[in-house]
Amino acid sequence: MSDPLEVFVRLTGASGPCAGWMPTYAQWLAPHVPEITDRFYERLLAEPETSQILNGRVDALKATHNAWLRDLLGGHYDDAFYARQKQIGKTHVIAKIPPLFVAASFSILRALIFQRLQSELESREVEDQGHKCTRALGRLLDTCQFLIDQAYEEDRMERLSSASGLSRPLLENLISLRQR
Amino acid sequence: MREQVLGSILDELDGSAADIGASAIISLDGLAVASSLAQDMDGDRVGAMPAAMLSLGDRTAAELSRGTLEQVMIKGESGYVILIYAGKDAVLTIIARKEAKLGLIFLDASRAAKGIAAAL
Ligand code: HEM
Repeated sequence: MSDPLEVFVRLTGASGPCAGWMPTYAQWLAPHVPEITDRFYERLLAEPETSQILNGRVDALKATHNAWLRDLLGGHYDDAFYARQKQIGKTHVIAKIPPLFVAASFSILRALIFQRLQSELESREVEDQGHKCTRALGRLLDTCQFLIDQAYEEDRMERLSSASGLSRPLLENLISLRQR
Repeated sequence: MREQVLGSILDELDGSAADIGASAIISLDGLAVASSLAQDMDGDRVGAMPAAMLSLGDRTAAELSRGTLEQVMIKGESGYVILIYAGKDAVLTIIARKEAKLGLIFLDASRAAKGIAAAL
């Protein structure tokens, strides 16, 4: 099968013309990054189950998260960028962060980012251009989430394979058997 | 050429005992390499299930300290399914009648498995 990331990017157009605008949006959003991160962790700390995981390392994670957001808005979406997202997925898998929390936190993040972007666009009276921007950013977030999800999927398959002794191709065959 | 050799090993096996209904050689990834199983059986399932059973048998034998796996035997209302390794990369699957004399079948199966391993 073709490289799933290539197919994903081709289907969504995630690195299409809009991505070229990203440095501009990044400039607009840059002042909001620390606040987005603060709100993000406020939400995660308000939920007992996520708070339990984060306790004691919030400051370090905030710094990491700020750096990640700047990277996201940096406008350089090359192989190294995608490799970093895959690695972030693996880190969360190793840290045993349930995928449910990752999915929910991406949703929180989208809302936080788009709220701030919207107000920036309104104040600059560039809403037309802004729609392109929102779409490009949305696709980019989807791509990051897809890569993190893939790390979880990969981990589950690897665990199943090593526990059962069933090879990966055999597992894929079993999964793709026609349902009765 | 290889298909012919494998096909003839299965023919010989099927003919060696009246109790053997059919047989198949399956890769450990679950793909049928050669088969005398009925056409109406779902080829994908016939490949994937024995390969999965053998791998699980292997792992179970190891976990329960039973040493190297020799065979997996499944008994159903209508007879047996016997699975044995044919080399490191394939499974020999044999379908036998419920009245089958298993000792003889195991003997024929292990001879056929050696031939298959050499041919693969
Ligand atoms: C939008 C979702 C998220 C993003 C973008 C994100 C981003 C990151 C990044 C960039 C790192 C550093 C990765 C590395 O060093 O390789 C990290 C580490 C970490 N994240 Fe997240 N994260 C997200 C969601 C979560 C959630 C929901 C939790 C837990 C409730 C969480 C807990 C952690 C922990 C505990 C680490 C440190 C792991 C370690 O080094 O042992 N993250 N995260």
